[in-house]
Amino acid sequence: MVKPLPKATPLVLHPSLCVGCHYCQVACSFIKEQEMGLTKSRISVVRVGEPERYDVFFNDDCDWCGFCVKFCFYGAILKEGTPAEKAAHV
Amino acid sequence: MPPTLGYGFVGSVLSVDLSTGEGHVEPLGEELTRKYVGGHGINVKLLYDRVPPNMDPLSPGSPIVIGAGALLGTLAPTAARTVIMGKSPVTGFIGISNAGHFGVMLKYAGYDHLVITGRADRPVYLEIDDDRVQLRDASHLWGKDTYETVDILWRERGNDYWVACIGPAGENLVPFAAVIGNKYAAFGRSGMGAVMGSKNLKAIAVRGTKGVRVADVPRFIKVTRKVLRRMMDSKEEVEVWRSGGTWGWSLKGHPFVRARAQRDDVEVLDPAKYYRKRFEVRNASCFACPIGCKHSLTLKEGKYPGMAFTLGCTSGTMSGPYGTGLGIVGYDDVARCAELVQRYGLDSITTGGLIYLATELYKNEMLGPQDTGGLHLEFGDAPLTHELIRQIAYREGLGSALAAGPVDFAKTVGRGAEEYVVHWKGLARAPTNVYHDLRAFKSTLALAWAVNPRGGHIDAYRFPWVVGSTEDAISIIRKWAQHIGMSQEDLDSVVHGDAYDMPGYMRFVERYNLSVYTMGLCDRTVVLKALPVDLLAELYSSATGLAISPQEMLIGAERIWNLQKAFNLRQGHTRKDDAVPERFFLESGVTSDGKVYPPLRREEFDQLIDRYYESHGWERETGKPRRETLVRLGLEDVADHVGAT
Repeated sequence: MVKPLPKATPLVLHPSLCVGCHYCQVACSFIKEQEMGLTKSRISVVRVGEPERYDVFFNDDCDWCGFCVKFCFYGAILKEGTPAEKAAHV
Repeated sequence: MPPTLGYGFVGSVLSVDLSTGEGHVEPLGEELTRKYVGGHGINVKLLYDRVPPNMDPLSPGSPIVIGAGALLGTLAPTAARTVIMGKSPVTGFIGISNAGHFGVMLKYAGYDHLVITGRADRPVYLEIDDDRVQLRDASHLWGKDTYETVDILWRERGNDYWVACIGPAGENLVPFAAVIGNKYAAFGRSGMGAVMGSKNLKAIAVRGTKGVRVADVPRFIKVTRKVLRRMMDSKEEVEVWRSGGTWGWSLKGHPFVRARAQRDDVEVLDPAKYYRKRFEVRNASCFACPIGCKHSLTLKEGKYPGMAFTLGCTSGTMSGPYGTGLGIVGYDDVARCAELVQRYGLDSITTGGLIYLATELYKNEMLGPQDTGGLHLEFGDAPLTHELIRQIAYREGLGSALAAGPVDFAKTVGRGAEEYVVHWKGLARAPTNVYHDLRAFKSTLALAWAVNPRGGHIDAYRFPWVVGSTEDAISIIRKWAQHIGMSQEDLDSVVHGDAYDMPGYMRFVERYNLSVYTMGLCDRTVVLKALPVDLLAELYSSATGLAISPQEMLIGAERIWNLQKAFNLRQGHTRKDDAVPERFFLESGVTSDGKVYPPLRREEFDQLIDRYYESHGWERETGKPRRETLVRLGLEDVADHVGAT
């Protein structure tokens, strides 16, 4: 269960668009733990299928700070209510 | 005790001896970063120190040196480039093979470089799990292809391991065997798969839980975001790379060179039309890359039910050798060629070129059914091509002769067959790619193949390339000079009015591209456009805490370039090895769109090499760096090694 910051904009995930670049994870562990890596990230990117299919989900300690959104270039993580997120529903 | 590195770099070199089963970790010396910057550069030095003259590349003493670019594991976009080096069984010179792959996990496990020596007495794989480094039994993996091997290891050890492995080709010591990572990242050229096979090393599996820090966080983040913005602002170009992969720049198909045995099919296939009809195409990506130029293919329509795999390079692995190259028309059949070369762990470009060569020789009656085991070789024959790929990997039938590689195969055929081989230092391909053909294009790209230390391939020397035969070559150079931050002084030294000194320009291109490689960043044009030298130096300085100016970075690259040359000289490289295929001097290049390019004149080519050597401070007769060049670069010991005067 995500524990959102006060006034945090909810984040929306589209795992089918995830390409497994792990950029969100590096960004997250950096902003939260001052170290670039995968294991301290509060967002998980897990290989679930072939070829190169991933699931992405927020860990319990994610607070929806939204830093990961800036580093997803494939539309897999979006801020709710933004034009990009609305377009994803179409 | 010299200071250890802890920012950007993780500060360690892991060495594993497969003969003794022992490993040890040493600090990565800061002096190596000062001289060789990082990644590819340090890797060359580690290799140079371990390969004496005349070493047998498949002997136990022959090392494999693997390097992660300096910025791997950080937020720097596209920082995934990993290099595998050794002495090449294909060329006998420096072997360099790279892909965006497991160097990232090496960094997260705590290592910048990995050195492997010796030979295991039975099949093993190297498992690196942070500080836990083990050699594990691979007898149940030996004989499996590169997809099966990864699947088994993911099941047994966890699918968060990144696995680079060899297939049957590497096991059978096919000299141009490849190493394939996670079923798609091809360390394709130079035969590093054969070197692994000679060591009974089936795979390297790495995972790491540690992190990478950067020294000056605000500065690093600022330059990272600047680079990202520049990259993603080229929306159209990003889309070209996403939709077409490495093929994207020729989405409408490009002309190909017809060779001596005319192919009957003429159609230049438009991948957008044919490829996406057969396959659902999804993007896949290197680590930390916003572009995502790789393609995951799932068959919708075609002959191979259940076919689904990922291609790191649509052009080099698939469309180049088997589509345009061999003229296979059905894209499920073309993709099947790519899947097979990946599974077997073969260099796709060499393999396609080799089958092309055999077919040309057959059609010109220099080979007959008695030589081919009854096979009738024909361009565009998909089942035949699939069978030949298999035969090469397993050294069966005609494959047992072909597996020697194009140069040696042509030697055994004799009667002038050697003139057919399209190779540069023994690293070969099909003759169809017009942009690598010096008859057609007097360009850095075409010349680069002749002088590339690892032989015929585009890598550190391809971009920014100039299509030298077009009128707007000068404007292309000026535009790229702006993109990459070429100094006015450098620009003025190569552009004179409406003419440019192409060999002189290459010197800048080489140093720029090598700088990108030391960082571990990608060299697709869409990335390079975002990476002028000042931002490269800024990324490095802010990440590592080791201040470097653009000029120092380019001098480091020049040092690396000269060290690569010295490596080759010590393995017997002479001026005659900086050469183009013999047939370029003997026949015109005729393209599918009707253009005819006359044969290259020898004196013209010789003058290009003369000027190339001169601009590098190298001796005209031998290509050996002059002593003053090496001393200027702080390579006095290397000057002694090669007998520089």
